[in-house]
Amino acid sequence: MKGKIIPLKDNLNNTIKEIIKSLLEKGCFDAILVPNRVPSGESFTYLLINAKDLLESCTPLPPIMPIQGARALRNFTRRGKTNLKVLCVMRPCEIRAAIELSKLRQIELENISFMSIDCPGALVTKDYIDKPKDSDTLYEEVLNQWASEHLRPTCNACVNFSYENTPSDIHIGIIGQDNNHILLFPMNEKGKALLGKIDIQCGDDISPWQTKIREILQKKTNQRNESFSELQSKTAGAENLDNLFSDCINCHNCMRVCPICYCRQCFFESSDEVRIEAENYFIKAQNKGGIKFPADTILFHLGRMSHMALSCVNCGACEDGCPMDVPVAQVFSFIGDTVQKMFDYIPGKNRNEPIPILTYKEDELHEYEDSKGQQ
Amino acid sequence: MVKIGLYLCECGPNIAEAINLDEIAEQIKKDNKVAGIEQHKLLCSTDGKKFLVESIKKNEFERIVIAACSPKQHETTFMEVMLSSGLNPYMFQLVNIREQCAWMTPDKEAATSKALRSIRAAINRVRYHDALQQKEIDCNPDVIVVGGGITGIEATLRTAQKNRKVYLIEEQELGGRIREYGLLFPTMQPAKEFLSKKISEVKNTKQIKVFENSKVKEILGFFGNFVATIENKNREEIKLNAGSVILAIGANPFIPEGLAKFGYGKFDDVYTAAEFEKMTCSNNIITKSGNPPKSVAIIHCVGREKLGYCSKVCCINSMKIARYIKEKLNGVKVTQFYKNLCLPDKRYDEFYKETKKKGIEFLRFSDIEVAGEANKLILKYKQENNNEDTLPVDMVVLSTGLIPNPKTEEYAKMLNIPVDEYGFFKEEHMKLGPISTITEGVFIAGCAQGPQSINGSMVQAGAAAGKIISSLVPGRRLQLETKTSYVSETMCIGCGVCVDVCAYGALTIDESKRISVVNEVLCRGCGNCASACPSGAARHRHFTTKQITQEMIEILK
Repeated sequence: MKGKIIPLKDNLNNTIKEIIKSLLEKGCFDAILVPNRVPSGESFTYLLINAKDLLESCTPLPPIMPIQGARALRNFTRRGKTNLKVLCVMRPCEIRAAIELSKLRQIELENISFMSIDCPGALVTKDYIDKPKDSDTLYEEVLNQWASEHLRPTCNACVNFSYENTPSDIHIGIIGQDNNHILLFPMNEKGKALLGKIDIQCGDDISPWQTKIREILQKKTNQRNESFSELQSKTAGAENLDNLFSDCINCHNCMRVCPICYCRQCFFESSDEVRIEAENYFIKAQNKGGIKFPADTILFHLGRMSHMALSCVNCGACEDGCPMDVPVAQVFSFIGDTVQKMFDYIPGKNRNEPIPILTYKEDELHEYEDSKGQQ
Repeated sequence: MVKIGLYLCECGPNIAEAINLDEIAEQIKKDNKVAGIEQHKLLCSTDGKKFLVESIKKNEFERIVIAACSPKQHETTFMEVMLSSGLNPYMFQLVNIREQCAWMTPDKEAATSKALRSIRAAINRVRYHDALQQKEIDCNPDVIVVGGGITGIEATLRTAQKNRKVYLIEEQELGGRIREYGLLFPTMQPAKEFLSKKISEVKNTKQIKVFENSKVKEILGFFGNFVATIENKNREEIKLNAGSVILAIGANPFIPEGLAKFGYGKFDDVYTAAEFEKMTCSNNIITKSGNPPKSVAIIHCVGREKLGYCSKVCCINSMKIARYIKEKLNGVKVTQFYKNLCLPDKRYDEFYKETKKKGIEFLRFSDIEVAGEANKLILKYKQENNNEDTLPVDMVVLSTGLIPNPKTEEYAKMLNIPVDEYGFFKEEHMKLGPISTITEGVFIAGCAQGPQSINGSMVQAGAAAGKIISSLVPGRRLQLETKTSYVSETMCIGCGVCVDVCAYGALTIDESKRISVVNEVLCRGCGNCASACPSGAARHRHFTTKQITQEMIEILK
């Protein structure tokens, strides 16, 4: 594989911005969906931009991810495809979430292209908005070290932070080489054609970058294994699980920020059917010796988990949005990883591979059968 | 409060002796959730049903719980009682305290407590039942039969009645595989004689319309209302309307190409049984050298391992061929090489014994190879005891099994029915639905479902015809499944998960609204969609979350 090494133009974001601008200039796209700093300066949001001068203020790789990109893309393709050609500049987990949503008919990918960027992770949003300036400096350091206690915990344990398992069209490598260059390469024929239009010939050796990626991957894998083995004991049994979620105030923010949670209205909020008569709560209280309110918070998390664990891309949005610091992303990422392995499925990796919940094989999963109950 | 009536059935001694019904009545009374409790010796008896109707009317009960036997046995009985009492039949819940309590739990106290739990659950549940309405649609009683072999012919003859037209569609001419047969086992009746009788019967029946040299291009619709597009012999497109479809597209003989040790395609005088059959039709059995063979070997189970199943007709067919040769050629030596003999019919064993008496040799082998050179075939074989031996023969007949018609897949896709691991149509259930498919109104018969004898095929054709005659009565409207699913428009987000999990093709996405919709004619109420829908938009009318939750609360109390 060959790429194009490009010297850094004052900083990373500006360099990527120049590439995006030339793609827009050459008419490759009608609009760009890219993160922008909000006017207050304290946060970032996705903007759909079709004017070149508006692009000036974009931040292709913001230090935080308050809005998961897949949610942004879903906003405008939920009712059908866009007739405009749009380039989405996103983190790998955002692209993978978008692919999952397309399989669930929530995003139409026609006319959509993706540009992925090596992702060092996202800072915890709450910390960032307290001290945006300091945090910007902090993020510079993160970019050098590729790990930090200030990152979302799932980011430190992320193994899909680069091009692998992310079906974008163009990928931007920002690790390796040195701190004065970035790397650009096409992920498919479409990407090749796009780069051709802006006169980028990919003839440069990218192996030093790949070596660096493997190095970081190893570190993150270790981190992931460590955190999973901790979670293994923390999530074992109903009592442990109860403890883990005991701080939950049932605000459902985790569901609202999750890119995969796509229901029009959450079953646990809308349905009269999960609310029961007062006498039934007494029965429950009698059985358990007491019942906490709001009730069934665990049921909500388990319900949500059963719906989206196969598609969970470990973006960490749920935990980032949690006002009570419940380690919800870490738990979901651990459970998600377990069920995804059961089906040999990596969410968002392949556009044409259906989510296992959508396929039925008569002959599978025998290892999970109850051997005593078998005929 | 809604008036719920509880009826406890003693089922003679069946329930009364194993469960303390008085104790149950006392406890339920204390719960204060029902308006009345009655006990009876046998509710399903004429007496019992009369008692129920009178009691329900007298007490003005609005919902009924009956604790008795399995719903499999008497749910419909009691639903009819509901109707006679002037109530909607779905305002009722049957608790199975016989099979699931009385007969299962030997300890009387334990059985009583289990029954009490289940009855409380049913009382809790029935409060949330909805009055479901029986729906009916117009239906077309006519039948489309695809495939004009013996199965299709028989199915056509059996379904053709006054007021019911049958369209028989055949790609070539009527008769199917049997046209290539000389004699039929075990009667040794000439195939032509048998077939021409059947065909003339078809051609003389007014209600039957035969389309020979015609192809099915498309079949759309559902039980009661199918529309088929066919291309007739003049290459014109014709639309046919019918209420049901019988697929009788048969099977093909396996061709042992690629199985080198049988010498097929390598030596001139090695034939498959099907090819040999054609020779018998023309009454001319000669080797390539132009002489009648002095010795013939018939090898059984050719391709059996590769196919993975026994075709159950080839053994007896091989014997038929052997007897034919013996009869036609004076002094010929016929040897049957077999591994296992499959004789799955009451007449086949006798046929085998008679065959042996005619001087036909049966040799059991563990391995065999057709070797030698042109005009000098030599069978090298290993006997049962592993002794090796050889036998020079003039002609070899390979008895091969049956494989699916290559068009099976195409029809399966067209009608949304699965194929099995061997490529034959898959029946709805091996024992409970052997000729029906998961698509209501589409039936499979004969070799299309798996290898069959002519008798077996005709029995299946008759069974499919019976199903159609009893369910699509001319002039009568079709009663649809009442306990179906529906999709809440306000909740559905159109993800299509329900569409993918529905085995009956009952769910589709309405592209203008981008939500999913249930075709109630196709829905059989299995509830797959309701359980897969993350939004709670796909719902089952008689298994609502509320009903199930309320039931479970009492069960788990």
